[in-house]
Amino acid sequence: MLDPHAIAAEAVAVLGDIDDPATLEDVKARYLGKAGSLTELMKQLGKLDVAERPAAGAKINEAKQQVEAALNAQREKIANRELEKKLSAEALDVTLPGRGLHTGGLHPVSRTLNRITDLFHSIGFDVADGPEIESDHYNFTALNIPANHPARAMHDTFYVGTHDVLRTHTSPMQVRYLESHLLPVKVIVPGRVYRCDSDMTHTPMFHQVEGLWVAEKVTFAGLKGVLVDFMRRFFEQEELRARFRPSFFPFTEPSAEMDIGCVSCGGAGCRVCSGTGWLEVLGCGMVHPNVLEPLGIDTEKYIGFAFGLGVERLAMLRYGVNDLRLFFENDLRFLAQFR
Amino acid sequence: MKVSRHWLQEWVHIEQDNAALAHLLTMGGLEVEAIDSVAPAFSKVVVAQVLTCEKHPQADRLHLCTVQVSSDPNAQPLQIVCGAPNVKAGLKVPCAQVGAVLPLAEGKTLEIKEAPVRGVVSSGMLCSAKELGIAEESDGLLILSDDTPVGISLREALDLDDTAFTLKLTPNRGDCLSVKGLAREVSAITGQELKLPVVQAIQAQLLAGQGSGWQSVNLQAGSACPIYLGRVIRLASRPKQSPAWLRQRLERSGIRPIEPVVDATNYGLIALGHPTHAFDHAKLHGQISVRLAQEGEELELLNGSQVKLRTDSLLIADEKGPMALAGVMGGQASSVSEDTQEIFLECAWFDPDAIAGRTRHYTLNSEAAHRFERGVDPAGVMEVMEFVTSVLLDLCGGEAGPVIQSGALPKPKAIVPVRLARIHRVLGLHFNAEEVKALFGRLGLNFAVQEDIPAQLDLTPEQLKQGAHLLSPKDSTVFLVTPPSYRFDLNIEADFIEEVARLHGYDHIPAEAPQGELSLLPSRESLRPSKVIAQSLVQRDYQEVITYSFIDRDWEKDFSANDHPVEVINPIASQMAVMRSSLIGGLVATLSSNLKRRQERVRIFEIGRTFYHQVDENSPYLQTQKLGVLAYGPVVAEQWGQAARGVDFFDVKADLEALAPELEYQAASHVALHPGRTSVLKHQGKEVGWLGELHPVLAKKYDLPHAPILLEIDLGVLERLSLPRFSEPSRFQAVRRDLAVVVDDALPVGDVLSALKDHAPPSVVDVGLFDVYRGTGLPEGKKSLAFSMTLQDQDKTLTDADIEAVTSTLTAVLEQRFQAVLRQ
Repeated sequence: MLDPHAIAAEAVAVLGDIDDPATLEDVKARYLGKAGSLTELMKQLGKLDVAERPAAGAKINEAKQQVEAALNAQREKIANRELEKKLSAEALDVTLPGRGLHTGGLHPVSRTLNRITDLFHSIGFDVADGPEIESDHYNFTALNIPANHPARAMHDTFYVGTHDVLRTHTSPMQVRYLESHLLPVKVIVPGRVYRCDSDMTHTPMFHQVEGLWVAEKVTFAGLKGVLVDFMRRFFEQEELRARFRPSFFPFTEPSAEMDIGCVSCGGAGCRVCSGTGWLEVLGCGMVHPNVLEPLGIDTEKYIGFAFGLGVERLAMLRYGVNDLRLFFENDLRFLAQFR
Repeated sequence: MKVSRHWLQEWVHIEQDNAALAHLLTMGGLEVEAIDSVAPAFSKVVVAQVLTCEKHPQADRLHLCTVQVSSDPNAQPLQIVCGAPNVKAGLKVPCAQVGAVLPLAEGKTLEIKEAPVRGVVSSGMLCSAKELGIAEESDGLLILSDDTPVGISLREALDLDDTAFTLKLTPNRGDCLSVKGLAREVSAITGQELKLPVVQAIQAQLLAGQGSGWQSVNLQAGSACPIYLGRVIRLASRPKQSPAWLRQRLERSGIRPIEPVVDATNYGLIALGHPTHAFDHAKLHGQISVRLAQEGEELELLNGSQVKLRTDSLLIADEKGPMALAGVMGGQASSVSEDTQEIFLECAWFDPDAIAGRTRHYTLNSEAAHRFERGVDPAGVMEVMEFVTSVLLDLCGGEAGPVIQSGALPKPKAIVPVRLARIHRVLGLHFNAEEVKALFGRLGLNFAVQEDIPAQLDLTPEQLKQGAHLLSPKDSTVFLVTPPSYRFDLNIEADFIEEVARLHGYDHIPAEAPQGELSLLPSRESLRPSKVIAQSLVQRDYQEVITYSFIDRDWEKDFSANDHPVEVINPIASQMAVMRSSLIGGLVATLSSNLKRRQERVRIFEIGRTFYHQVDENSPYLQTQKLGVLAYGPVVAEQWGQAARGVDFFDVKADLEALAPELEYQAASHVALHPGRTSVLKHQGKEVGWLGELHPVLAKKYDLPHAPILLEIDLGVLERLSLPRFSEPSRFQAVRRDLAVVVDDALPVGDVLSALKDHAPPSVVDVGLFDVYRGTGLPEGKKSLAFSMTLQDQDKTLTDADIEAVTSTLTAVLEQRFQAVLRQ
């Protein structure tokens, strides 16, 4: 009788070279099929002595198992190879760009407005909106700017009617908001404003954000705290310097102008800050009793502060835009830079 | 306001250098805009006298001069060649000596060397004002006055090391529009000593009424002009120009010197801040009065303009009519001329309200009105009268008449109580009484301190009418302050609190975290903020733009058929003359400008207000926020994986549906849109906007190669959301059935879809359109619509019979409503 292990060794060697499934099945038949050499050996077991049979049978089975194991291993190897081939044929050029719609972008002024409102909203300021055609009552008189007051000349006003103007600032909303809300109030008002002025540094329409806080514990020190904090967060410069200068607005007393250290040169002096190291960024102050008292507000109990900041100015400083007029030319090549 | 440092220094002690002074002023609320040297740097230029002056032997236009440049008369004169036309012997002129460095344009310099000019050695250069950089133009040598000492430095002789400060004053600080006012302010800010000149009264040498027939002024305007001082001055001579010192002071204050009478009144204005006016006395007739203009009166002003007077204008008039616009500008007829021998000098006080706004109305520029409308010190009338008189007599010689006073000074302002506790409460910084006293002292305020208010309050109710109600026993210290007559911005307690803060320094008040009640803000989930709407459009590849709210009148006609837009009365340009009632014009213009910049794909939107007239008692204007969208060019940016296709109606409709699924669409017509490709947008039956393709005629008019798709909708519709409501998903299997019907081509699919949705039983959870087909196999004028229906019951698995019942019901509806034929 042939040595089953020799047969198995021969089969394992043959199987190892096979690389297609059909040949594999042929070889399987040659050893394990009905007329396969190991099957034949099994058939011959009957011719052996009874005493020899178990050992010989075990030997053959061992050999069969070796062949089967080799067969399975080779089958898996072939399948893997086939899969690899298929997958490599399916490969993509992953460096091709993605397909479909891209995204657009917000206007830099909106982007800046969102940033400003989010920051103030985070300490509890409501966000309100108001009309752009205003009566001269709300735009001037109710803000302690009587007719003929020289302060009216500070605002180059567009008129749409004898007593109706395009609002020259967002401050009228101080009065409107106080009229329609219970105290305390804490609100900012973003919006478009208009002045009859057009040159390198002025556009006839621009954006402001008005802030108003009227409550019992409002102070000038608190006003400074809120605004310094705001500027540092807005520009993400924790060491940003700020200073407050006395100024004049008819609707605040005391009034102040806030300067920040130049965000472009850090205060050394450059073109952006005209060499002064400082940038004028907003006007503010404690709400004038002449604004609050006509609204029936007890100025002994309540004190308010207010501020108004120019949005385009902050956008220019934040993003390094060097010409105000670009904001309203709507050149897509400009706008796309703020995506 | 411009002021010379040297002049200011005469009137207040100043230790600080220019930069430090400017910083202190700026931080004190008087913003310094510019600090300019009155003359550029130059050296070795001295006062010289031309001794002899002869023709240059080799050049007709040149002179050969001998020039004395030393204070020692025995010193050797220099030989200098000079080309100036006005050079002659005896003149005193500036001489740049050898080695002098003179300024040239753009920061360059010129060094003077000893050099031959046409063969003759010249040891220096005689200079014009332009050559020294102290004037823009000159037509010859700068001629110095005869009393200038020879040999001294020109900078010393002309005080050229002075500095001019330009201040940007806020309208509340009219009191600082003079050297006196600024000196007072510098003293308040720095605490340095004030050295104001003492103005002496001029002894009257003319008798009242002597040769003048004039006694007093008839004040008819009440509180608008409560006091009027007048004086006749007979001038001995009329020199052509004022002396150099006066001209220089005026120039350094930004005022052009004219002739001595005008210069003297301007000098009073700059020095003391109180405008005065000189009339030609001979040209005034009879009684002078101060009154309001009457209807129909006119006046020719000094600047030559003839104005029709408005009845709110205060006048100085004589018996013949208006002579001057009080506090603003004199009249031509009574103006001082070369022949004037006798002037009538006016020094009055006009209430700011009587002057404010008048220059704007008459479009005049007036230094006087600029001061009166901001407030001039009424208490200063006599001082300025004497000051200007004395200057006039110095310049022209002559005799002054007595000052005739009509009326009286206005009542002083009420005393203002300023509570120490309130200062702390408003500023958030504690001051003690001594600190406040010191600050008020620096301001020169008149005040008393009262402790334990109100028990010992020693004031009449009238004195306290403005603030008595504010006082309570807890206010232990109260300052009772008399507002100075020159400070028109100090009237109430808050004004004095600002003064405390200002002089203490805003920078020395700490920046503190604010205190307040913490509470969460209301947040309405059913409101979608416009910034979220904007962000959704950005995600769908739209770029936000911001266009002007005022537009060309034609755009309103073209895009809104609006012949009565809200008009801007004083537009900045004709293409910005009306308020938009639609955002479309701005979007189309933005498209057009970007096409010119070779952008081929433009997808833009704007959120903003539109404006209409309305009949409403609250406001005659409707100001609606809208969203406008424009899409033009390929639907996606050119790319490798997708064929290029132009954006169409349905692309933009999908963008809109993503924002507002509940809208109704109906074919309609709109002036700006393609008649067959326009839908009106309705929400709950109400028209809220439009979607469509720009009308080809307008596309052509606005130079657009293709018509863009346009959308405009009221923002309010997009802002409202409904709160989601939970319903349990069915656990039973969903079944899909398709239904294809043939209908008239003209039938709107939306009608069919709504009919299906309206008649479907609850087990139909979705109906969708998945195909529209026209052509082969269908009759002319027909189309096939294929709908998919998803059926799912909440309680059971649907049987074939259930499903059949639903589809046959719906088929029947379509057959009856639309004569639809089921397609097999």
